[in-house]
Amino acid sequence: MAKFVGALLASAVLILGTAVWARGFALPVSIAVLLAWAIVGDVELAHRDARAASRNKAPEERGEGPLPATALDYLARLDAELELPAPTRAEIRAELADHLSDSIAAIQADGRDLGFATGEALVRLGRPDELARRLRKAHQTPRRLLAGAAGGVWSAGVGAVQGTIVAATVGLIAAFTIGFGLRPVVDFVATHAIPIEFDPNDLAVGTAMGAALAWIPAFVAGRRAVKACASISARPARQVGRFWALAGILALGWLVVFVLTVQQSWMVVGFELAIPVSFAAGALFKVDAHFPAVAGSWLAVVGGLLLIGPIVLGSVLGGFSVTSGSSGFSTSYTDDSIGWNHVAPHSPDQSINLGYSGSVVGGAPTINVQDPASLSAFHDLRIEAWRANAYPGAPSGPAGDDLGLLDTSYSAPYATAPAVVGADGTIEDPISLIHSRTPKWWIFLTGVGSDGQRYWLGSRPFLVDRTFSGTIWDWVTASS
Amino acid sequence: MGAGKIRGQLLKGTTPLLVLTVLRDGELYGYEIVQKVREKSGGTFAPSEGSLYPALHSLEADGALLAEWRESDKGPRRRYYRITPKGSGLLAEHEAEWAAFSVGMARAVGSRANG
Repeated sequence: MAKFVGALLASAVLILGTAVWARGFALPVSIAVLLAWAIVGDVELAHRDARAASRNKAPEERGEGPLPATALDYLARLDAELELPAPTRAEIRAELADHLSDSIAAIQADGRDLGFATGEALVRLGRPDELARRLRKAHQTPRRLLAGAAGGVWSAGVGAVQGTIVAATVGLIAAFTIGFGLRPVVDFVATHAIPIEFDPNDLAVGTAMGAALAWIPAFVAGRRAVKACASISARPARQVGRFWALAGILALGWLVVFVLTVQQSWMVVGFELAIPVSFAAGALFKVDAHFPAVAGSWLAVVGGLLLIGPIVLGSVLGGFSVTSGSSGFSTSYTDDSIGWNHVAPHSPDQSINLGYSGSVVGGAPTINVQDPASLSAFHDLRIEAWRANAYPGAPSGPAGDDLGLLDTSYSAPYATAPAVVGADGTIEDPISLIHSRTPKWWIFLTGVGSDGQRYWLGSRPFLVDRTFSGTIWDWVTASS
Repeated sequence: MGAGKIRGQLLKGTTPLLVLTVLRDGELYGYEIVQKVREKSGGTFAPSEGSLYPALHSLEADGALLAEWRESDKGPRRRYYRITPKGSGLLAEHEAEWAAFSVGMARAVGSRANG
């Protein structure tokens, strides 16, 4: 009942909040349907748990007299051989204990002593391993296995919805805690201890945090799938757990690698790949135990590994921006310090007025020349795209706040294209950057002067900040 | 082969029929089922106790029986079994099969005895 009321309240709050946020009905209605589904499934499972609990009492718990040691030993050996879910094993054990009590009493009533009566009653039941085998066969039918698989899928869905509600709550609490309470601590650590730049407003960081929160529904889904499947199919949770872990890794792995399109970085890749791992962890670790036991040491270890792994991956492969304070950079910049002269010398005529517009990713970017005649002194005009890195502590100035350091480790541009000046002074930039993981680019217009030297033109090149939106597969197969 | 072994072989496969037959008259728990079969057969035979519970659980899994824990008239809680409509249908099938089998068996054994 408490679970039902809790789910109902959570649903009401979420639906109301979503309605206010979306100011529409489609999304709240969808969520309401999902939650209704979750509640129905939850109540059904709660009832099943209650039914199982009511019939699990051992003979001693039910106030019956203890059986002779040999009979208890027989039941223990039978129990060890059964390989059925714990509630079913307890039920069988209780039923056979009743039978033995009756049987022993009946034989004793014929004038036999307790030892003989117990031995005779056990002989009539047969060998415990053989009885266990027959009982196992009676319970573990193919039909129950199919029903268990279907029930597992259903419960995984219910668990995913419930886990999402928990994750949303955790996310809100985390956002408030970091934003208002821990932000100074995080900044202090980032500045003085760990050289990472943490900006929760950054889309990549937000995406990574979203992926991290997805571990919760994945874990809950895996755990509930195994519990439901084991209960319905009458198989031990640890036995079906292996199959669910494998199925989860394959299905969710395929989803995150080939289907889920988000803003990618190595850090996000790590967090995304941890989602199927989290499902498998939910399906495998202490799945026989109740949740408080799972929330103990194992959860801490798995959660720690899931958290540390992607951060290490992101740090090693460049998911976080590595900073070194402002000591390594000048507070003002020059063509040399920013790396522009690595491309070519700046043209002697620096009054050529160029502008840049459009989207590099989806649209048709153009360089706009205010006075096309100013380019007449140059020939073999071309557009060049050069990789850039983040410019921590970039100085403010004419270049604005979004400077990037040209990556001088490259001796050639990523791509070039001939620049054709249209009648209206526009030059179309046909260079596509979508197949590269690099987020920052400098776009140059260069030309060869009358002295035969190639120069970059205009007062400054153009910085392009782009986000990589795609699947993990897109990200991994893209060039650096 | 002794008479006991012959009886055991003959009883194999008949446990579901015997169980469903005695449960047609009302709900019983495991030990009572054994006693009831023994009583109805005039003490001639009873199902092997080692095969009774697998048969009961199998019939329950098939939906032929319903089981319920509750207080018994004579003592502690017992797991009572009762036949379902599906079980009644299954019993009718078993009875028809057994009738055909026993008639054929009587003819075969009788003809050899006479021949």
